[in-house]
Formats: sequence, C-alpha cells, structure tokens
Amino acid sequence: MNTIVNIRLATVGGQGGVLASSVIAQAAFDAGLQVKKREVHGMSQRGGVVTSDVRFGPVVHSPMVPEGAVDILLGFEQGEALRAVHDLRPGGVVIVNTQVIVPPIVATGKASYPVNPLATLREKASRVYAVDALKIAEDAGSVKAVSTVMVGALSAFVDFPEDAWLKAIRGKVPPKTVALNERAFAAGRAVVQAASRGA
Amino acid sequence: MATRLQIPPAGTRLLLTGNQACALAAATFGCNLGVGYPGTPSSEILDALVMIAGSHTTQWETNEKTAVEKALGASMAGGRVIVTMKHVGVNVAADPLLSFASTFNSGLVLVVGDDPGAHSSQNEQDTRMFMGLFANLPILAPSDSQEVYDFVGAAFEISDRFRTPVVLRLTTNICHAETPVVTAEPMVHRPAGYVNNFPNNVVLPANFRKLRHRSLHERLPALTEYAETATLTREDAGTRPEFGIITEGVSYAHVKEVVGEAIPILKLGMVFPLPLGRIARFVADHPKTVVCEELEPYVELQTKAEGIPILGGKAFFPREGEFTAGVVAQGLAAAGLPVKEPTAAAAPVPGVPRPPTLCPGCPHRATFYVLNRMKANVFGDIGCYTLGGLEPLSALHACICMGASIGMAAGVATVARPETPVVAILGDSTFLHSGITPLLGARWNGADFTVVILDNGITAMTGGQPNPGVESTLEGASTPKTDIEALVRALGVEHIAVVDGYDVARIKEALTAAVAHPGVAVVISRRPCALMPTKRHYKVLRVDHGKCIGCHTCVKVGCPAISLSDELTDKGRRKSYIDPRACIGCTVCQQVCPVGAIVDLEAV
Repeated sequence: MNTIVNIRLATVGGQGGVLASSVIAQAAFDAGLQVKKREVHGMSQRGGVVTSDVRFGPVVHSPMVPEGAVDILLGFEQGEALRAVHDLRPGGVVIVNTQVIVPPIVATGKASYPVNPLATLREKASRVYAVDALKIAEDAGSVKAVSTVMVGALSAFVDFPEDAWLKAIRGKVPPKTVALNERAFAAGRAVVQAASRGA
Repeated sequence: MATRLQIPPAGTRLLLTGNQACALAAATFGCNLGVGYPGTPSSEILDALVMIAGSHTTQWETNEKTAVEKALGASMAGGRVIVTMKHVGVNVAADPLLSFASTFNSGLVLVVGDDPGAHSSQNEQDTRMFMGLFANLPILAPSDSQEVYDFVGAAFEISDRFRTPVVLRLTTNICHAETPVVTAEPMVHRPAGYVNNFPNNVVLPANFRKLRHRSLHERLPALTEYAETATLTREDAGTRPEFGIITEGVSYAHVKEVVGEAIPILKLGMVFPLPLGRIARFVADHPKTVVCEELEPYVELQTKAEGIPILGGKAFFPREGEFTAGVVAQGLAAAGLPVKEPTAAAAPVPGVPRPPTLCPGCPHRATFYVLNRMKANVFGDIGCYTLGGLEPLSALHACICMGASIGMAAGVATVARPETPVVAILGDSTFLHSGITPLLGARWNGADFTVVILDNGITAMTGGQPNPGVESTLEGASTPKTDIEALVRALGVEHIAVVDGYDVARIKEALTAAVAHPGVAVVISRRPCALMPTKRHYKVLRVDHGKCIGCHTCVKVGCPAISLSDELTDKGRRKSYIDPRACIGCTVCQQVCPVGAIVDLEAV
C-alpha cells in the first residue's frame, strides 16, 4: 500500500458508526499500517449526524480527511451519504446502506427528505454500491449489526487479510455478540464482492 | 464493574484516542487520583482511567471547582493527581486555580479539552489565553495520542521540578482521534504525605504577596529557561529554508498534511511560557515565517510583542472554528508560502437537515411538550434537555452556562415578569453541579417562579456518568444517593411536586399548580434516562391506521421514532408511523393522541 486510503463514515447517532470506525482503524493498525482516526458527534446521543474519518497508509499526518479527498464513502443512511458525497474524490467509491432515517423535522413539515438520494449519488459518483444493510443485519440476527455489515461491505475494497478484520471485530464488539457480528461481516462482504464482480 | 485492564509493559504498541492515551499515561506515571467533571471532549479520560488496574482512585466530582479543590488537597499531600474538564469547566474552577497558581505545590496536572468549532459547547474559548497568559500556569500542547501520553509524564515532572500545577491542553481532534502509542515503563508514585505549610498554603495577603513575587521572579524565569531548551518543542527541517511555520497542537497535523517536508516547522510542545528566544532564532533563520494556530492569536501576539518579525498569523487563518487541511493550505498560500494546490470538495448536495434531537423514549420530552402548551418562558441549562428548545418542542428560550437557568429566571421574575409563566429547567446533574446555590438565593429573596428538575438519574449528554444523585460511584462502589426532594426542601422550598417524566397529564397538573403557587415552586420530573445504564424497553407501540385521523399531534412531541407514512386519510392527510425498531414504548405519543390511534405493537 503506497498511498494513503481515506475513508469517511457518514452515519446517524445510534447506528454504530463510531464502533465501525474503530474496527476499521484497528484492522489497519493490526495490518501494520500507520493509521489515524477521528470522529465528530454533536450534542445528541441518538439521531444526530455522526461523522468519522479513518486514514491509513505508510505515513499519515492528520486524522482528518482533507476536503475532496475521500476515497471510500461509507454512508450508513441514504441522506447522510448525500450530505457527505461532495468530499468524495473523482473516481472514489460510495458504499451506501439503503436504509432511510427520517428526522422529526421532516414529519413536522419544516424540511423535506431528498427525493431518490440513490439516483443523485449515482450522478455524483461513478461507483456506487447500494447495500440493504438493515435487512442483512436482521437476517444475521439483529438490526444492531448494521455497522458490522457495512464494515464487511467496505472490506471488499480494502486489501487486508480477512483474519485482520475478524480479529478487530472480536476485540471491539460485546463478547456475547461475536458470532452475530461475524455473520454480519461475512454477509456484508459477500454482497459487495458479488456486486463488484458483476460491475 | 468489569475486569480492569492491566497496564501494558513498556514498548507495547496500541491504537488509542487522545483521551485513552491520557488515562493510560496517568496510570503509567503513578497518578494517585483522577478527578473531574464530565464535559465533551474530555469526558472519556476518567471513563477510561477507572477501567485501568492500579492503585489510583478515580472519581467524578460534583463540579469542576470541587474537582480542582480535591486535586489541591491531593497535591498538598504529595500525591500525583490529574483533574479533567472541558474548557468552560475551567471557568467554574477558576477561583481555586488562580490562587493556587501562586503557591508552590507538586504533582498536579490539569487536563483541559477545548472545543474549537463548538461541536458540543456553548463557546470556543482558548485555554492557552486563560491558563497561560492570565493564570501563569505552564501549558503543554500535544499534537497526537503519543504526545498526549508522553506529555502527561513530562507534565508530572515539570510540576514536581518547578512546584506548580501544569496544564495539558487538548482539543476535540486530539481527544477523539485514535493514533498509535508506544507505551513507557510503568512507575509507582508514593505520596510524600501531608505536612502543614502555613506560608505556602494560606494565601493571606502577607503570604500571597511573597508567593506572587517568587512565582513571577523565580519560577517563571526558570520555566522560561526550561521551555527554551525542552525537547517538547522541536523543529522539522524543510527544503525551502527561506520559509517557516510556527505551530502547535492539532494544527501541526494539518500543517504537515499540507506542506510535508517542504517548509521548516517550529512545533511548540510547551506553549506557556513561550520559548521566545527559540522563536526569534527560528524566524531569523527562516525570514518568511507565519504562525498557524487554532482559535486566539496566542503565539502570534506574544511573538509580535517581542518584536520578532513574522509575516503574521490571524491575517491568514481564521480566529474561529476548527482548522482543516484546506483552511491551512489557503492561509499558507495567502501568506505567500509555496503550497501545492490542495484538493477541494465539490459543491455540497442539498440534503435533509438533521438537527440533534432528544432520543426516542427520552424522559424529558413530555415535560417540554407541556411547557410548550403552557406558553411558558423557559430558562434552560446545559444538558441533553437544551434540545427541548428545538422544534417542534420549542420550549427553552435561554441557555448560557451550567446552572444559570435558576438565576436567569429569578432575574426576569424580579425585574419584569411576563404574563405567561416563568420556568427554570435543568437536569439532576446540573442542579447538583451549580443549581443548589441559586435556588437557595431565589427562595431567600422571595422570587416567584417555577423550577423543573429533570431527574433522569445520570449525566446523560456526556455519555452516562454517575453523579451524587446516583447510588453508585464511578468506581462502582454503592453509596447513598442524594435525595433531591429532601435537598430542595432543606433549601426552604415549600411547594414541591414529584412526577413521572412519562405522565403527560400529571406533569401538566403539577406544573399548573406550581406556576399558580406564590414563591418558588419546584417540580421534579423523574424517570431514568432511556439509554443509561443500559437501554430500557417498555411495550413498543404502533399506529392503528384504522383510527389515525392524520392530525399529527403525535408528531409534535418530536420523537425520532415517529414519521409520516404514505397512508392517507379521506381528507388526504398522511397518517403517522412509528418505527418499531426505534420506539421504546414511553407512551408519550399515545397519551397525546386525541383518538386513541396509538396502540401496543402486539394489539390486534
């Protein structure tokens, strides 16, 4: 790996975005790379915008991905992927969970949710992989595993040994949920591997 | 309490946040006491320290001032102590800090998390100005987790050598960034023991004047000499020696990102006192030098005051907000330094606003719903419940700092009482932090308004830390909890009501009676936080579309679990929908629904 890989996670508070970024950073660290990670979360415990950056490579200076330099955007929700897509570099990859989380401000009529965010994402980025992470997580045993499904999807684009990912997951998730998260990771990885072979 | 983690042997490589690195360093370098008050971005330092095995004690205190006062005692007893807080916490703790700063005591490291950009704060004040130029305390400014770790050790050494408290100044992207750390040899510090020292520890005017003189004319010059040679500050060589950049903290990471090895950098590790001799030599060697620092022109002003000819600082970089690589590249280019064209973001795509919101099942929601309906003038405070001011609840109209709600309400009620009710609202932790004394004063002076204490039994916004209203300490020891009702009664308040935070009708009834009561009345709205210590679940609800009339009353409680479905009423209005994965069954929406359309998920 000769260049820095810049990953941004665009998530909603409560989706496990911070855990996912920790898993990615740990996997890169265990793979012997230099790695830096940062997260930004606002005031609320749930339901607000939560953004994480993970950067790894031979030498990494800042924990923040520079403007317009995101290589892989991991959008945990369609609207959040849309919010972050302007920082994607030309030719960058978008992996987006097709889940939609409508904020209360939409129900009260003060704002509207974007119409067909996936289509807009496909206009803005050449490589967009849509993943129904909620359904995959539910099938794996719990909707709480959405973040691990997304890590699995990401893993198809990052050249670490599968063991490095699994070791990082085992070290970060609650012990009782290891099997569930291993299933979620494998399912997320498989769905993107299949899609990228088809592409 | 889960099993505590052992301190790793020297040479272990770990990936740690700045906060975790700070905690591990404290334990490694013999800290005897970690104490503080939670505040983003600093909260996780003690959350991490309590999980590390060792002989140290880890405690949350009632507020930042009491935390510092406990640290003063620990220092007087010859112990090593870290005291943690966010930038605005230093304001609360300023009284003991500013006087203690002139005494000669060892072992005290004040760790402050500043929040440039005010991600989760009411302001973005710069601790370097306050604790450096104003309080004359040495300040170390690490740039990543390894430096946080190393500088904690250095801070203890400086504190012991110069007999002064030392400040470790962190910022959000240091505290919450994970970067690699290589660990050092663990050590144990045995407190020397407490010895009375009247001339040093009693700041009577006669004593203070001598201490002040010594601290300014002996200690400060010695610290300055140390700063001039300390390895905490270092230079990075560059291929273009006519240029130079002076920087510190997280700004260093952005500068390196932009210039790499091209431009020489003076990276300041100790930022008070500044090594002005070293800065002068650097600028002499690199005539076109700029100062790149987040927030205030702290280094810039002192450098200019010394007559050192720099190109400038805030002429090129913003004084507000958080730096990014792009901001730094733009500033360097404006100063005429050679930087390659930075990558730039495309135009943002219009998306959905997602303001922070109270969680599904939050026990504060119903109280704000009722206050909104009462058209109350609500003086708020610092906590999750500040979000009660946002739409659609819109029932909080002033918020300045921790504990200010009661004083502000009392002031308004005294000077120009509005027609509609005057209400102060604050959480249990904030009430215990700094709400008791203003309530005492308001009652004593005969003010007439209502105080609502939202008692969710935790300090929620910072991640769920215990407070004196909880039956457990940070270390997990069981302890009698403060009875808030008895406390309020002891302050002399006669009209007190305790209600269930989920009971809309009872909250309305209690608030109506409290507002009608002449004098200070207190309503305690009680229900555990929906998330802490573990997420709570009651009976999940759903909307019966056969009954829903599309009136959207449930939407007005502002719950993230409620949205509008595509199902329409006869009049074409969208019926409501409850996400069963988000709902925890608090029933507040069910109580306000006028037609009984919200039912148990399982009900047929």
